[in-house]
Amino acid sequence: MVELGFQQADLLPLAPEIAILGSALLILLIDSFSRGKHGKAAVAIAAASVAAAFAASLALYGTTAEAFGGTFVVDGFSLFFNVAILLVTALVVVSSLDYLEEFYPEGADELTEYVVLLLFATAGMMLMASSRSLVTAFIALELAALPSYALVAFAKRNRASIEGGMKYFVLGALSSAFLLYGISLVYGATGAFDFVAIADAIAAGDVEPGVLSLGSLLVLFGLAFKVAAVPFHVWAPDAYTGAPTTIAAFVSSASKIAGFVLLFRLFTTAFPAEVDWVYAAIVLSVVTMTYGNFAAAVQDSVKRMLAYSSIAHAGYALIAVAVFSAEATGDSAFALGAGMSHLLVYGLMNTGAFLVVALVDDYYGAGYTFEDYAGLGRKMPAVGLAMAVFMLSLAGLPTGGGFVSKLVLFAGAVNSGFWWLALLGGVNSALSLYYYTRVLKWMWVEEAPEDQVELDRKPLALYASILFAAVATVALLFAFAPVIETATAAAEALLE
Amino acid sequence: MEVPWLTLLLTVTFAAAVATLAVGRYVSDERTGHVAFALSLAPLLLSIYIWLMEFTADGNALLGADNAALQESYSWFTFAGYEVQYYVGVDGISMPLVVLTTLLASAAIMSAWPSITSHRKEFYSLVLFLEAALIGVFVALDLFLFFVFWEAVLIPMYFLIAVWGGSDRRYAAMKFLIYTNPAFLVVFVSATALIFSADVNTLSIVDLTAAVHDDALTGYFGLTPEQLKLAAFAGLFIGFAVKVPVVPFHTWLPDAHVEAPSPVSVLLAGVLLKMGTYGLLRFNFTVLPEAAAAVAGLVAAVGVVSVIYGALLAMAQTDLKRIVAYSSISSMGYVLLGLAAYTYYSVGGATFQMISHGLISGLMFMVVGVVYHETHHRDVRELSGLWRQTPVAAFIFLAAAFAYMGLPGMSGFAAEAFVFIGSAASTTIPYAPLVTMTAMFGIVLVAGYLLFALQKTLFGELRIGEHQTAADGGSLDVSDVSLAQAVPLFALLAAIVLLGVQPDVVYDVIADGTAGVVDLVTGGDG
Repeated sequence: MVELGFQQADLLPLAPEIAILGSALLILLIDSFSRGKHGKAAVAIAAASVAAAFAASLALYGTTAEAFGGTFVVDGFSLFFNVAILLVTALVVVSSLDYLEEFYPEGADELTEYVVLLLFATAGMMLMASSRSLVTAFIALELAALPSYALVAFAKRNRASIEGGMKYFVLGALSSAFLLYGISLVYGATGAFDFVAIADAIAAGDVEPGVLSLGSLLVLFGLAFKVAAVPFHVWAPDAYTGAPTTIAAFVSSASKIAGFVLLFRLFTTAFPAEVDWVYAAIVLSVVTMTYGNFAAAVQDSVKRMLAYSSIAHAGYALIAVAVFSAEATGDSAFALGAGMSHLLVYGLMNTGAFLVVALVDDYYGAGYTFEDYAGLGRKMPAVGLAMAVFMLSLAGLPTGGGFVSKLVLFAGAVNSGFWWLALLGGVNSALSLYYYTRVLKWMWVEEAPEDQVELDRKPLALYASILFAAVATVALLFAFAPVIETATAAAEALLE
Repeated sequence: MEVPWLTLLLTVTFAAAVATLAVGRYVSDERTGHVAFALSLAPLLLSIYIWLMEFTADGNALLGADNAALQESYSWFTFAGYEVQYYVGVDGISMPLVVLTTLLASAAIMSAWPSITSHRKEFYSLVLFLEAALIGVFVALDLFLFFVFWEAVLIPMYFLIAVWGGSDRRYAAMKFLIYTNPAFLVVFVSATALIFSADVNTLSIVDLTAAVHDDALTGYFGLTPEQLKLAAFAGLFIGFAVKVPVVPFHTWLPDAHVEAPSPVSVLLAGVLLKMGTYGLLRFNFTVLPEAAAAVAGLVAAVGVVSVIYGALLAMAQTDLKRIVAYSSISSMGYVLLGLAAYTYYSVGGATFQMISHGLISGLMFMVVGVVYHETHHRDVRELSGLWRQTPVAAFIFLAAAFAYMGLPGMSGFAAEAFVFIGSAASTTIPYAPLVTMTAMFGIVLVAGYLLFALQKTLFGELRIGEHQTAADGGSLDVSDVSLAQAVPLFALLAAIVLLGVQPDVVYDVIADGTAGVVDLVTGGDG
């Protein structure tokens, strides 16, 4: 049995997670013992804790440590994803300040609860990145998921929000069932929860292959729900569209990234490539990107288009594991590193794009269809330019890091011998230009109608978040070296 | 201190684009064009200065680490053990193309003064962004950097067509994107497959070329090195062929040309199409000469089909812009023929044709733009007798058309003569003389449809549109080319005549760059 003693040395590597959880508890305490609501103070504390966790993640970089009997592991891989998740959380927390008052005035009082839920979810996602045991992974996943359900349904007088939350919850519960059943089968076959121990048991050859295969496939399907891969995506468009837009940004970016971390770590560490999950991953990848793109192309609502576009991006990210091969770990590490980089860049540009929707659709109330964006580019050039950066970068044109990360991802597939998968990704990426440029066409090419809403108010925090995301996206085009090099190093260490 | 000339050129162009946007807020609408033109002179003059004073290369940039002039390289990032660099340099092939780009960009900006009347500062700024990206395509020596600039070209082009184009501009802009972006991805996959099987540790095209030529290829997942070369050749060829465009990948071009505003058509025909032939020359014919020689007959056949079919399509058109657009497809076919022939004259001539066609088609679109701006008609059936009212525009039109037909004394003649002399003696193309003669028939077709268009529009009774028929001797409210518009027209015409009379000015430089490519196949007796 593994010794599960509690030691102080276990806590230090988990400092980023502790910072987030601690501040969440602090906000709850303040809320309980004070008379009034302190929404802004809560946001400030949350922002500070995110910054602290961010700094701690960077400071820890280079250390590799196990905690709690090896059920958690802090390594380059988990820290890389901590950074990606925290970037998204920071953007969402800051922009919520303006957003919630406007979109959901009754809920403005509940800003503290909102922030606390966000922080708990963030902590859960970061723990998902560090988990190396099926048990801790499942608990971390639920810690991330439960607050997310509540957040999606946060605008509780808005029918779409409730509906989205309900769908997300029911299907989320279903996916947890898949996951748990898969975990129990894997445990039954190997007698281990620890990822490394599972791999060892499989290598020793003393397992029932059928049970193991079924278990690993069920786990894959459970995680496919989390990352909204087709055909496990049906909750996603409604949840993303119904949720408050900042939360849609959070769930479609951070939550998806966290799902991928677990998927990457679990499948590349625990299950060798003899298990047939790679074929399932290939099919998932192809179906997800293709379906996501075609569905995005026929939407009338910008927010719903972004929901499907985020599904398509899950398909691209799945390439990173679809080309996995246990024999050529060097090539697999490169593909995995490319996938990690793409997720980080995706987090920034996708969040930025959703925040633009939050501004236009919810804050200004200009409307949700493409037509409602007519001429907005000229009326708000900074936001219009930011949206151009996000859209073109998502489509894989060189306005931002999305160009490099997508090409490096495709190059990873080519490097592993999957040139046809890269080509398929390329065709999909080209098709995606159709709906991404459609937004820009309305924003910049068409003239604004006479009766367009006034855009006179300037929500500072929302603007700042959008512009930060845009600048960071552009900067990653030039400063891509730290991202890809850390990601590849982390992936290499993981696959050793 | 070493001056990083090419980075300076890119920076100056980019800065001009940003400055146009910034200054545009403070000057009147009419002045914006003047400001943009003044700013565009900076990259133009700088590129000419670089060519005359700093450029010293006398080999092909890809065929030796020291061959390219003005090299700069800085590490950008590393992936999978391959270093991606900001690596630029120019040789005899790219230097003239860079100057062609800066020249046509300034000319296009000046020619846009009367016709572009909305959102001026954005328009000129995007043209300058486009110019910067195009320069980047020609100077990049790192594969990834090349791709960045290659795709960066699409962004300003999309908006230039979609915002300032004709009535069907949204469709044309979208079609342009959806056609050319997948083509790029095919190029990308082919090139990366080549890189990953080559014994290199950077994405430098120079290193890649050396590795491929030294047979330092490992093969790729079941493909032997020889099969890989052929497969990569096919992928690269298809990808670049869309950009050229080569029949049957050409259908985006007429739409894009017709809908784009004339100044943008100038750059589209003048420079953007050369990206495709430049890619073919650099990758297909320099990196993969064996594969190219093996399928030269097929490539030449595709080239000849483009020549003839493009010309036949042009004959069937009545819209002046469509005529010029289709004839561009025809002209690019000669480039393909010249490249496939692998002789000194043919490859040099093909590259010379890129420059020459850039100038001529640019001039053609500018003059069509003038005609359209003045008459609001582009259909040859709606126009006649323009000579009476607008002699200067008519003269330029006539001169450009004759340049297109290859009148001796103009650059088109020199270019086509080089290509034909070279390709008739080709050893790579089977039945080379016969193939060359078939291609020459294209000239007859060109003369046919251009003379038809000239005769219809310039001569006869003055008439514009159905309802504006003037009585004999009467005049219509159409003014001739203004002084400001005449400057870029005559500047381009002068360049065309200069290259026609003294092709060596440019051809010698080009020949330095292309000779090495030919030697790869013929071993020195091309």
